[in-house]
Amino acid sequence: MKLRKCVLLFFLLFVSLVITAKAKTMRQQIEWLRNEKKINFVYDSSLPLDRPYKGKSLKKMTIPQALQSLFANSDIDFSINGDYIMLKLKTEVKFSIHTPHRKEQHDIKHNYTLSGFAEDVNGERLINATIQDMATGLATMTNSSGFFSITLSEGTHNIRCGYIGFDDKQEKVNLKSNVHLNFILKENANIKEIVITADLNSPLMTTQTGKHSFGKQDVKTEFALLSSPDVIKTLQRSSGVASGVELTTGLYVHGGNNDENLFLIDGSPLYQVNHALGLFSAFNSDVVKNIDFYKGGFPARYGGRLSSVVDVRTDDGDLNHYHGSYRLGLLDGSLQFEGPIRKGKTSFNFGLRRSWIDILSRPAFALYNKSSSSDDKLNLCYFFHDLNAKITNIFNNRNRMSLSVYSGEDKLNTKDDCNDSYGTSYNDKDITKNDFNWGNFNMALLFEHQFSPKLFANFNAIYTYNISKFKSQEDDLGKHGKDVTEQTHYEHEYKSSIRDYGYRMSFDYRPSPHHHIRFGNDFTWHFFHPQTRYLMSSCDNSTSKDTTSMSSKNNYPARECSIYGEDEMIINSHWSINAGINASLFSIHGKTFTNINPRFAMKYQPFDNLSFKASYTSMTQYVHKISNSFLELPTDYWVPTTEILHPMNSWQLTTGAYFLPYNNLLISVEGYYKHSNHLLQYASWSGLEPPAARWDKAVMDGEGRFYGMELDASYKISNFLLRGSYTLSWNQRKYEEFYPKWYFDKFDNRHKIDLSARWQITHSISAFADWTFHSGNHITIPTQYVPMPNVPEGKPSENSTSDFIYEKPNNFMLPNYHRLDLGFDFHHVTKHNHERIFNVSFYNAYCHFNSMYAEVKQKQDGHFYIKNHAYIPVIPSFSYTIKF
Amino acid sequence: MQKIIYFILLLFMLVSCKDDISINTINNSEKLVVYCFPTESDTTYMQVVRSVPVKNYTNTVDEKTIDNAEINYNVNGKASNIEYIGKGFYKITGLQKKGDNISFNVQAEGLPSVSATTTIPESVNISEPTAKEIALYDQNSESTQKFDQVTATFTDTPNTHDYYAVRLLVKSYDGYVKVSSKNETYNFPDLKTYKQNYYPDPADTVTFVYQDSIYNVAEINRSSEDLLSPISEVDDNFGFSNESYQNMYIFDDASINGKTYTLHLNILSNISYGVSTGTQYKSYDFGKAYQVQLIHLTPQYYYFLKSLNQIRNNDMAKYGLSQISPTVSNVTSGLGLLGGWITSQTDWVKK
Repeated sequence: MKLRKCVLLFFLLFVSLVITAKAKTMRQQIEWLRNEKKINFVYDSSLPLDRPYKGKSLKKMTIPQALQSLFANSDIDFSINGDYIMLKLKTEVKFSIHTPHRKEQHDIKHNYTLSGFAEDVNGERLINATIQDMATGLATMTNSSGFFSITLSEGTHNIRCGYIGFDDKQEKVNLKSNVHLNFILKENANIKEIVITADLNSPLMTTQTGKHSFGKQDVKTEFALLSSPDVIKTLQRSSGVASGVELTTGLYVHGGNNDENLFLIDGSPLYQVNHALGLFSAFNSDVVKNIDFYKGGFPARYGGRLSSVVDVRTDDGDLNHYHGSYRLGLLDGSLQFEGPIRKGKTSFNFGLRRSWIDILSRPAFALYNKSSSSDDKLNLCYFFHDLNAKITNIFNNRNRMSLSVYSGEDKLNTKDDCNDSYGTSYNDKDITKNDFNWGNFNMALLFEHQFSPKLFANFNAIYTYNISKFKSQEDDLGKHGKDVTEQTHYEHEYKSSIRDYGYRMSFDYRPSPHHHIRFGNDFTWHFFHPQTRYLMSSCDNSTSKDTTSMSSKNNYPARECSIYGEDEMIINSHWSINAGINASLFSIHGKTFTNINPRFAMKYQPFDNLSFKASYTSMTQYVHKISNSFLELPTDYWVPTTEILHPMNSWQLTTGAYFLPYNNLLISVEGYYKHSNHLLQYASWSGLEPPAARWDKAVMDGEGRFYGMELDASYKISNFLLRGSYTLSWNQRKYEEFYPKWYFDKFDNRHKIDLSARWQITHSISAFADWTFHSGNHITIPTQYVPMPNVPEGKPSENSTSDFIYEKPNNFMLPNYHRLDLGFDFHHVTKHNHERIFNVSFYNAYCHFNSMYAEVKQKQDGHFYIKNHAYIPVIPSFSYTIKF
Repeated sequence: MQKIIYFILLLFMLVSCKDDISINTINNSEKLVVYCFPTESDTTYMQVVRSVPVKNYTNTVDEKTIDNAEINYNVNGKASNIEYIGKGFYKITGLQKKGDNISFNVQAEGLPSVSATTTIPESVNISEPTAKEIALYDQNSESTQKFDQVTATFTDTPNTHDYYAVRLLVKSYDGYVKVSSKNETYNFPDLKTYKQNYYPDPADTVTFVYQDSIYNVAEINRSSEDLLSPISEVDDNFGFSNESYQNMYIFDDASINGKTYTLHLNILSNISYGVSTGTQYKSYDFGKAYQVQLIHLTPQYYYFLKSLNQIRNNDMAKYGLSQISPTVSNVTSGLGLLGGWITSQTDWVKK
């Protein structure tokens, strides 16, 4: 009996050994499926596929059955996407960020910190990259310097570094002490799937509401208006943003004004953010690395504006190779060049963009004037340029310094040379010259230092100069024969400028994976000089000489200081909180304003694919742009809050839900309510240039309430990306002095839809389409026609007139706005391995003439009618880019 | 590639015209319009008309004056006498003085009744008028021109926010200079000719003969007076207008509160005034005298005038590029204004 049992046991053992010996690994089964079923697998090389497969034979199964059986008892999840099978670790294992259990904590004897940077192969630091311990799921994100720090238990860890558009990288790290490690990732534009739960910066995973990040690839799409890719026009596609006047770079976020957006370029504030009256934004997309756009849950480290923060970071430059690009577009051209100064240590990045229409306009006017028989000679010249230059030096792993310079300028010159002859001997020569120029010069010197594996700091010295200048000169020379009978000269000059000197210190402290503490201090010394004027006129004739000169200037020196602290706390696998405070101080003319702005955001994530968020933020703004137009004009000027005004402030409540029903589909819905106080509007000016001398006594103080809901969705499959957003919003304002009740803002676009698609059609052709729809802008039109009174007495008069009455501001809504933009890139690689890109773009592709404004006019029969003014047709543009 | 070309062609086939906007989408109806501007006087006028909604207006629409309005006009709660004088105007008699509270309630057939209240403000004295000739560059003529600069001084009431308008009245004379010497008497037709051609002789008797005069409210060049928000050179270059409704130049005391302030008002020296009578024109260029009127306005009156100025001058808004101001009214359920005011004026100062 015993023998039989032994034989049976031996037999079973043998059989099992045979079976085990014959069992194939999951990797082998995948290979078999790939060959037999002609399907492809996409997976991370770190997946544990070398484990044996112990299930039934896959031979007679359908593909779904085979996959189900193959991965049934494993940690691997699959999804079928056409001919592709996507494999990844089951989400609950893979990417949950959680606190170790108490038992685990008891077991941990030592914790060590892994810190370092995420970079691409050229040494470019990657912002918002995710660093994750694959075993525990603990994760962190790189900051704006590409730095990360994560404290883990002693032992070996498999650390993954992931970044959108790049291949993931995993490193095995044996933590016996603090370790410094730089992850070097390789760009891969053909990644088929983005694992959203693996990206801590995705809206699903971040704690903040209302944050959108844009990389270079998001800005440099295949479509570009007038062939120049544009940062602000990219932001305009976001939900909750109204774009203002067509073609311009308006950015009206959650009902806020255009001056309520904080634009930072490498940490330095930018006042003038566009060229050509708003046609182009001032950011050269060739050098833009990353844009963090906040419209809701502002972190405490940002302050100074009410409605949005646009934090633009530029490329440091390639540390190893020289390369660059030329682009020639319809109205402008650009050159970008980067490379090492000392290989691996010091790099430079240089970008220059310049409009070139003046190169044609100068000879065109010269030819016209030469051929024209008129005595009137006209010359007109306009150009803009922007230049970005950056030098970065790496001293060692802990220290790095960079100098970033931005210069942007617009210039417009006109000259009118007129000769008039009267009779045979009298001649009058009149020369009128106008010179406009406006722009920015910004310089930021950044020093980055890693004090310890957990503490990283940025020290930034900032200089900002913004100027707008206009000079007009008129000379009139009257001659009788050869005798000068009268000579007059008139000139006036106008200049508005701002000089800011300041520093920013920001510290990034990560004591544990559950706390990410940021704190710092900003200080800016503002020198506002709005409208410095000079006027001189002289008249010299045979009998007398008169000379008049006048000059005036305005000076508003002010100091602005803020300190902030915030902690991003991961409470457990479901809850995270970002709590912070921004305290600011503003001093002008002996008066000091102090404000404390609390910031709070929290996230509840019941499942890996679902999160809920809420945030409360308050903001204060001490600087204002005085403007009388919805266009960005060089005559606009910035001024500080003065001692007789209140700083503008706002508070905003945002809640949202973020859902990932499928790996490639992310849906989010956010609701917001924002209330702004002490909004300023120039009260009594109707020209281009409201007077600066008493501006603070001539502005109206008002309030605004802005609320709405935003729905965003993005879907990516294979080589196709689809994004959509819908905004339902109400924007209302009230200025008692202007209108005693609430009225709708001009850009109160009740519904806004934006759908964009990006398609890699073939290896060499890619396309982008964007369809925008929004409810029409509001305008004020007259509603009644009445006799006008005789003032001041109101007596009857024979000469009485009638006129229109405007009963309510923005009382009429223009027709709905919609347009389609299309763009195509045609790539070609030369035998010298230079990539050439030919771009064709169509703005307003189906040529819908969208209303710009409307006015009430009168027909001959006396009836009034509304004339709709719409002028922008389809605008095709082309560009040619060579990368070298 | 072929598909893309087809797609583009298809898009161009979708070319659409611009949208039509119907004036009938403006949803409004007739309203009662009342203008009344009480001051320290025994006679006040009130104009009562119906508004015409823009969608209903034609050349054939009759004047919408109302001659049978039921008006209840009260001064400090006491009703005043009202008399219809034609063309929608009513005359209210009864002495009113500064500080009086004025209210009205007006009813007309088919329209909701309207009401409004105001107070006649305190007067602010203006005095010490002077006039001198200065040279300024004039953008309109693009040359240096001679201006008469008239100044006058007033003291703003402290601790209150006050609203003002200033008017410059010009009294233009018709006349001549009569020179009587020992043997003869001759006339110079105007002062300029007299000053250029007359060589003084102690034996002569010179008489300035003022025959007739007319009054005009002058258009002021504001370049020497910051309170009146002078137009900037840039705006002037671009042709923006800065006219004041019926030459009443408004300002407030935000920057001069409680201070004594001298206004500097410029008027072109060579401006000519005259009267047309049928086919004839008679100029009054013999001489001029100036008077500055300082009008203390209620806030409603000030904002009403301000809105009229903004609407008239805002060329940007006409092109949808700027915010246009609504027409201010303090008439509940209707349109128009009940605006209190009081004026003080300087003596006449001759040029």
